[in-house]
Amino acid sequence: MALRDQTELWGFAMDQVTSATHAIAATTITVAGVTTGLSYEILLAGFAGALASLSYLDAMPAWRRLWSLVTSTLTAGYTAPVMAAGLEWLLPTLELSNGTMVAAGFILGVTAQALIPGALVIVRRKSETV
Amino acid sequence: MASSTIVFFLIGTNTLFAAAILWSTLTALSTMTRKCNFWPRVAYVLMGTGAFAAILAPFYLERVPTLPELMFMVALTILRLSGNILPRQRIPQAVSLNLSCEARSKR
Repeated sequence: MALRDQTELWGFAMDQVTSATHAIAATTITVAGVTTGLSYEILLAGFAGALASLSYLDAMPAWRRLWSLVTSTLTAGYTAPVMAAGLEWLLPTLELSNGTMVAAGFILGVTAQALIPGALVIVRRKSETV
Repeated sequence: MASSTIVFFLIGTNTLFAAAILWSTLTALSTMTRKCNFWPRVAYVLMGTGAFAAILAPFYLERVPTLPELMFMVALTILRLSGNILPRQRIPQAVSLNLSCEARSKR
């Protein structure tokens, strides 16, 4: 099947796909020529949330401190668009804008240190029952 | 040649000082308790976020820090590191952020 037919099968015209790709590549961070898929604003919001949550957590060693920041920031950067889409689905009056994604990134950055262990426990329980 | 040298100097120096601010911010936030004052907490979160943004900025649309931004960064680093690396006596106490968690919790 030709590439043109494949793109029409998914309901996109080729120019729409390439313009969307260019838009994503223009707004995400590129490290050594590799597009990471992380947005700058969402990453900053997630980092601010991680710092805010770090000030309420117990004192921890330096490397664990850095690691918690990295995991919180990356979790926020990669899952904030999904959370923003979920918020839009829950609240139809809410528009899926950049501000919504930034707010979702901050919330995820604050709560990531509690969400990640909880998600791992749920996955472990599911894997034991299967 | 000269302009690229200046660009590398600006990016390198800015990243170095931003990393120093970020590390000291992490240290301060990690030692904070729930009883600490609200405004130093906000200040440190903003400071750390700004330092992180300064580190990421060259990767994002290849933005080079300006000289005033670098001056702010150097000044903030000097103020933040006073007492740890630099002697505290040479910097007025009023301009350095004091956590004073213990003193506040005892009142």
